Amino acid sequence: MLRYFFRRVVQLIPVFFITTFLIFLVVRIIPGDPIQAQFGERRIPENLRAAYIERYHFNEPLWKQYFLYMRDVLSFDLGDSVASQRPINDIFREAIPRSATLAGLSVFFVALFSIPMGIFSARHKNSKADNSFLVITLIMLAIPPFVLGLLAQLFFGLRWNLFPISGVGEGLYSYILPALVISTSLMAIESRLMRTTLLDTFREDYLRTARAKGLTEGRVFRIHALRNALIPIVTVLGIDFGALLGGTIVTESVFNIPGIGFQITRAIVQRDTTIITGISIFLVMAYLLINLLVDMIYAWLDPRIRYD
Amino acid sequence: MTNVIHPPESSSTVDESRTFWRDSWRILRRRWLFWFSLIIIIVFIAMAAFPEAFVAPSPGPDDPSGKFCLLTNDRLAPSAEHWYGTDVQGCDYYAQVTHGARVSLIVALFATLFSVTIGILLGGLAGFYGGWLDAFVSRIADGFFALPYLVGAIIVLSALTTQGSRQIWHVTVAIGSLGWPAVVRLYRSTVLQVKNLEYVQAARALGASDGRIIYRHILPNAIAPTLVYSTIGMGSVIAVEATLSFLGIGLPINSISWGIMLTEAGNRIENTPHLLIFPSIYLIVASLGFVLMGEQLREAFDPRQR
Repeated sequence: MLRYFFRRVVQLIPVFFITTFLIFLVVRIIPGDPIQAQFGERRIPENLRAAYIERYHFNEPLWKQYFLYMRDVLSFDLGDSVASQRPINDIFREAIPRSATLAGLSVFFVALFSIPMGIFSARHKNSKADNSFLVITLIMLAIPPFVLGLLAQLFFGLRWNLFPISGVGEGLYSYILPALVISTSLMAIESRLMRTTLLDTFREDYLRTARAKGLTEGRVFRIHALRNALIPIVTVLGIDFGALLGGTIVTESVFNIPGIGFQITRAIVQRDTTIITGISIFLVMAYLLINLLVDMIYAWLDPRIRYD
Repeated sequence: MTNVIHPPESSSTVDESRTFWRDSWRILRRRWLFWFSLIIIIVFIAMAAFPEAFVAPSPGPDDPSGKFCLLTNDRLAPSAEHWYGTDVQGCDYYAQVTHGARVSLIVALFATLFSVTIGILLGGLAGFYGGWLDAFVSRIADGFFALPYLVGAIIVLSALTTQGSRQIWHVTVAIGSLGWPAVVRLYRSTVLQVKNLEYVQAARALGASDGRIIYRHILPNAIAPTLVYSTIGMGSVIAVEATLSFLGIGLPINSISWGIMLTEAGNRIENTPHLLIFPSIYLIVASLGFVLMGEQLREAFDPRQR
């Protein structure tokens, strides 16, 4: 297990450096002077400009800028925002709990909906209900989140006055509508996954054995089929949570929730290059770590993977 | 007595020959969802190609006839004269929404072609030759995967242009350049499955060149999953293009696109909900058409479903 862990970590390292360097490179070639962008049309005093260049190493060759930057990143210092001069770590400390609340609530809704729905579809395979449910899930997938967000604001917020539609002023309650919007497409994917894994499990030999032992159909389903079919879905819900932790650009913008996604949108508008790079690199790290975690869980569940 | 041995009859008089594509077609043509999604796709392609057939002259704030845009007509609710109402400029919204199909379909088609071409090329080479080439291509694809899609699109778009000078092809390239790694992964894995099959070995034994094997023997037999993926992909590109425009990093605000219309609508949902509803419906239905079609193709192409 330990050997497999190290092998996976060694594979991650080049991916991490390739991705971060790509981000670093592309952000640096974004047209427009990032220092000038902070001053609008005003002229920048020479000494101030020099201080900026000194601070962000803009005068060094690109590879050295990258090297200096990664040295800071690896010691958990993402530097300061060019626009607000605030440490990016502070901005993160505020934004991450908001995105995490949203992520947690969304995953909760996904689990609440997709597991029962998947079970139902699998038990009534190819029935009228199952087929119409396929079409419903495809519609849920085809609606872009921002359209769904706007429609939800129109109906649930303005017409029926059920939920607040902007900001986080009302605590957990203000996260419900955006979380429902985020979870819609995931509900569609995850309930299909639940259906497929359950159907695959129904074909397993150990289910036949359980039946042959004379267990009741309900017990075969609950203890033998469902438990095993839940493993992949729980893993995927974990991945979803990890991915959402990095914020959702669209939904956070539509509902004005100042999480990670909202911060990166603002950074783009303000040409705040250090935040763009910082958040992107944070997201890449989060993605890679979650993938590592998932691989480890799979390897633990299925020993064949370890010896592959 | 004529005991001549009859030569085998030509294939046309025997059973219809059974090829993979013909079998798939047999399955498809029996499904109403296939026809349903095909009709949606055809209607939207027609709308994109000949919007004049759906609504007379081209609309826009500089509409010469004044028939479609009258500033005094701004923000009218839907009526018999203006089916979908009018927008803030007083333009007929039905005409606007209809003309919006063009941008969406152009971006969807070319961005998908772009990523599929690169994906098949790199994925095919990586899968066929393996070794360092495979490792190199796969690691770069992994790198792209690690970057969240929208963040990637935002970064690429900001690097390509500034807000004012942005055009359709910038958006197309940005979306396409993020889509290829998924195609590489998919196509590479199918090539890996196909390349060791007997008929490929047979072709090799007969002395076929690598190029011929890849083009004549592997490509036709490994393309089906990629075809499914790109059909569904067209649906998601339509949504992504609208999303980028909505975030203010897609098309310029004077273009006629569903994403831009929805941005406008989002700022004033309370008073003019019709501005939100109609482009939403078009966007969802267009996207759904391709997703449904992809699902039907997936089931028809999958031998295990037969």
